[in-house]
Amino acid sequence: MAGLESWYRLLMWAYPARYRHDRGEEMLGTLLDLAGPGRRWPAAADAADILRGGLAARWRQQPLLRREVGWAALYLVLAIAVPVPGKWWMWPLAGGSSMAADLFWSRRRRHRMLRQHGRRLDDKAPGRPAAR
Amino acid sequence: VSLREPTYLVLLALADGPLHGYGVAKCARELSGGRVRLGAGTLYGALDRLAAEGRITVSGESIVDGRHRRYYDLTEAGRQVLAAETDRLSRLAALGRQRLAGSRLIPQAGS
Repeated sequence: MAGLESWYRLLMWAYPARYRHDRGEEMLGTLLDLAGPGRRWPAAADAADILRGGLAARWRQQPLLRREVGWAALYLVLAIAVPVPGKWWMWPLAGGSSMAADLFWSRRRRHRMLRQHGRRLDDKAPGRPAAR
Repeated sequence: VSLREPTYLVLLALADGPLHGYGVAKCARELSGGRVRLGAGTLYGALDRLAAEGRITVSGESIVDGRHRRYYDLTEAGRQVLAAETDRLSRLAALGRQRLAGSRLIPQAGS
């Protein structure tokens, strides 16, 4: 039984510290009652339920977490929706600056630069007539 | 307002008088014929939300066999919500019965 209790205590770390302080003992009692006799190991469904409840409590208690998740979502949307030069797996890496990178490296601009530089190089190339 | 089933069962469990967390879970399971088995995370999530909405309140605390017990009770607002939701569900069920009976009559009328 002591083993089961320590398992539950471990799982309850999913909850915010203040919540554990206020409600932890009560919840632990309910968990042990719900488990019934002879159980030495939390059931997988119960463990998932505690973890989900803990995350929900953190979500409710900490506006900071909400803000962080909001920013992360915005970052992901930018990273995925805005095209960036390079391999697809680099998109999340470039997410924060992908909009600026896209403006800078837009295909049209890249082509224009290639054309201009290419022409300039051609001007200096030996044995070729000047472009203009 | 329509309540989710676990929330409705928690309120219904408390209709008879104050219960502690385990009592609520046990009663909800019995009320649903063993179908809804509330885990502690779901149960306390529902209790917290209902308390924040003023639909239930903590009516007492005690320690029994080394277990910390906290008892919950319906508030007047909670009782009203429970009654309103019960009305809504029974109207819906009556409508459902009516339509099912009607659909059974159609083939008979055609034959």
